[in-house]
Amino acid sequence: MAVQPNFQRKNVYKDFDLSLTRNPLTNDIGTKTDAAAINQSVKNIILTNFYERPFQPNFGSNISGLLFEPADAITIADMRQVIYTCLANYEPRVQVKAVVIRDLIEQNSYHIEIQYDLKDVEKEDSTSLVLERLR
Amino acid sequence: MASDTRPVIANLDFNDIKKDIIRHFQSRSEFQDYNFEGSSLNLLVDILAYNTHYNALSANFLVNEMFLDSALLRKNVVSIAQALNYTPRSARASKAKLTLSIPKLSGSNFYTLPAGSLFSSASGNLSFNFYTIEDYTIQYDNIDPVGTTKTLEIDVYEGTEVTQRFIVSQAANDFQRYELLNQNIDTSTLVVTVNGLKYQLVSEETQGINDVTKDSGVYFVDESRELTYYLKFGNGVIGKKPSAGDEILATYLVTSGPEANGVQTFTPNITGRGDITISATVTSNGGANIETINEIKDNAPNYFQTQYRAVTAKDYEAILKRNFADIQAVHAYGGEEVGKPGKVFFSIKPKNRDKLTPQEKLAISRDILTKFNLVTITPEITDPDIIKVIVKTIIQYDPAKLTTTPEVLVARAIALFNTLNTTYVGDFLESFRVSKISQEIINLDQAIVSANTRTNLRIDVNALNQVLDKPSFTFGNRLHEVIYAGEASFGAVCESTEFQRVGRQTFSKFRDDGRGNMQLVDVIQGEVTIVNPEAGTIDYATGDVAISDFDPADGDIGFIAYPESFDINASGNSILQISVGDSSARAIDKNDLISLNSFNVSRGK
Repeated sequence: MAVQPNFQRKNVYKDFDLSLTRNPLTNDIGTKTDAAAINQSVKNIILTNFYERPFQPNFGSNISGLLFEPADAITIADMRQVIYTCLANYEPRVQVKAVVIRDLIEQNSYHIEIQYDLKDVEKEDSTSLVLERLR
Repeated sequence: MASDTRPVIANLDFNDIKKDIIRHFQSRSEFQDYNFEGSSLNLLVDILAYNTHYNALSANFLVNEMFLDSALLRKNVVSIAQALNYTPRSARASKAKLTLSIPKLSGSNFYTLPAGSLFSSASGNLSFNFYTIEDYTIQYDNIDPVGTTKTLEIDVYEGTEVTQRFIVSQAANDFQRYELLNQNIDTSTLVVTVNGLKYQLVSEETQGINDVTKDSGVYFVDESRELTYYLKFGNGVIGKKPSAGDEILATYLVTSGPEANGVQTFTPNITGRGDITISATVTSNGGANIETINEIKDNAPNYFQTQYRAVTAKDYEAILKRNFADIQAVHAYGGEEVGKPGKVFFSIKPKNRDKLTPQEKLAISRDILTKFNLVTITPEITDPDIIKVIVKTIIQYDPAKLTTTPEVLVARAIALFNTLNTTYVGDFLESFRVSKISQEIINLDQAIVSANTRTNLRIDVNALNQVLDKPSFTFGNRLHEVIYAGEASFGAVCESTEFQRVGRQTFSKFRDDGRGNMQLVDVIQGEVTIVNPEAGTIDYATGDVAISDFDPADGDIGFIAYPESFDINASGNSILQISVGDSSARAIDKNDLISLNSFNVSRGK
């Protein structure tokens, strides 16, 4: 029996690109698939504040509220906890392994790297983002 | 079988709409991540669902506001009522009738009391101003010496007199509107002049526009969205159109409504006439607030049916309710029902009182009924038969759940009786159901586990000059029949309060003997002596009581009976009213068996 080649496998996850870029070939809206779709989702969840989504006041991480707290270990621990909680609640496709937060004190910002397992595609991945008070 | 993915369009709730959109689009192959909250698609679905939800609610509100039954906003209710040719009643100023004694002055055989003359008054801590709204003139004979006093009867209305001035602009349109800037205006006191000429108000219940020509000096009044009123003038075809530069003066009263009812003392404040005194007064009455939304919803369709003519009994009820604000309940019935054809009877229960005064009845007949009445019909106003329901409730409470005191439970039950008087009983044909009141009491507090309510009935009759105003009356319900009740230790089924007979210092009362007779007895130091064993009759099956042969001193006598059923029916001309003063409630701990055995009984007065 012939083994199906990998490239014929259909995408498990398929989302559109929130930056609304245009596909130069099809002129259609850009898409994100599988790991890229999940990464985008993770970022969306973390960057959403409470009460942003209609009728879902608790959706998101509300992490921007912590940016105005003292830049110390306690705040970083809080941010880590918030990220763990919101991804556990709203992103069932990942299992968070580690959240690494670096305080970029000269730039008045935090660098956050989230490492996780993609449950369905059996792959490790990570997402990084920089949080600033002004964004 | 594949699931049905057609969109459902009946959902209003955000979450249902969102689920429906996701279910519908999941069958498409372009994207898959609809169900993940963090996905961009889910964000898009949120926006779509929000938009749909918003539009659905707007449509729902819109449709609700289009119909009189479901509209909630006053401006919409008023607008729909206007389509039914109904203008909601404005606030009404309380009106008093004063008789003035006016001495003749030298040099003139007449005196004119102008519109706007002030009579100040006070009621409790409040003070009110009453004004005349028309000129009154009194004529003296030539031969009357100076100082001769003549009396003049006038109507005064409570409020603050306001005059607004408008100048018609070049840009005035047809049916140009001018807003009266105050709320609580009594539009019936409105006087409008254009360049000094008095204009007439055209309303549905006056002549309509049938007699209005292009030269008629008329205006119309509409309620605005801010509870104020617009004056509206003609267009040169229906009513005269004011010309540019014309001066419009509108004078009206801004009233306190019902607060000024019941005022009895007035002081004239007439410039230059300190010699005018008041010789008689009819207490102020008829003041009312602006027609409420619920009243408009009730009245507009009824009034539309009457077409401003009183033909059926219901027509009379609608017209009376609109034109006389101080009505809690009204019942109209044809004379053929009581053997008096050619008449129509109205039984009117005013608010906060049992019956109308003779002056009010006269005013209603003269000012309201005759305008709408068919010429061959004679209207007659009667008083309703007020049957007072005495409620006695035993409240059992669970002390473990009690967050307050038993006294508070009792106070809340008594307050409930008061509330039910206007919301539950208090209208014609509104019966009293004991299970309903027990349920209301149980709902008062989580600690109340039961309410055992028993009811008695009371009818008050008045004696004046040894004559009863109601020598026969009916409780309208079957009474609890006990043979030889008069001799039983627990007392009679029907018993009166004690009263005095003419020329006697001792007290007497009536009671039934259990065999259909009402006995007249003297009560001397607790000992009962029968004076007349057949001073009246009582029919236990119908509740009819007739009293004859006794000579009462002036005053009220209450007849109290206990009915066979604790549910009390209202029929015919009777109105049930909970007698809060006679009613009682007692709260007993559910574990206090001794008190429960003593007080928690279902029979007896």
